[in-house]
Amino acid sequence: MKNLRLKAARAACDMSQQALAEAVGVSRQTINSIEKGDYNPTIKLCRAICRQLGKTLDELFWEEE
Amino acid sequence: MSIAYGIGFLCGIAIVAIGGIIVKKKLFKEKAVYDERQEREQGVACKIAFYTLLAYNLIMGVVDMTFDTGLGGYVMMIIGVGISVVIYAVYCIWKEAYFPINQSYIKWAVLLIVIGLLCAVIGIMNLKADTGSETGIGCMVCAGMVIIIGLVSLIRLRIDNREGEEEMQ
Repeated sequence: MKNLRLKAARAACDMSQQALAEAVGVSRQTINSIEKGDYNPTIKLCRAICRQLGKTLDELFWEEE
Repeated sequence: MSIAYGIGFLCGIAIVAIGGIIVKKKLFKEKAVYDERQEREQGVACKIAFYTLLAYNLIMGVVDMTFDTGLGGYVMMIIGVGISVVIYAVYCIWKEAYFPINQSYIKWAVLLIVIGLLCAVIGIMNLKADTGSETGIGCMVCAGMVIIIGLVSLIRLRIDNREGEEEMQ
């Protein structure tokens, strides 16, 4: 399932996928895969992304009912 | 094989190894870093390459028993290893899991193509001297393998750059 909330949060911070990837120490393709729903990141990576974007885990990664 | 040939062979390997270490220290100073997704994809690629090699051995075993392929055991082994290495590398490159996140694709891709061309030259020279030369065929297999990996890297880099540009718009 696509992670549109992540994409929206990243856009709100005016960050490209490359910029977010560099900030959290992964490749751009990894961020792309997470946003497309092709890859489930580990909790460690989720927390790093949340810290970078100033959001909580629930806001970015909790599945909507 | 004479002792002199064996010593020459070992000297060649030593020179390539030393050259490789020098190239690595000059061009690729940073330790390779892979992210979690890349490591996972590398694991999947390893599995696919392993089963490819098994399948190849099975098929070539049957083919060799049934027909006279004219290929020696060494050549058949090299071809099998070459195919599985290419499968591993191409899968990883396509999933962007082959190159570390902290190193440039371009340097690696160009280096691979240059090495491939050198292998091809050596292979052609050997085959010209003796068309059935196992060394020549082995060199051509290695050349093909490395050139394919280099070319796929460049194609993937082009696609990745285009995706990056589209995402920025």
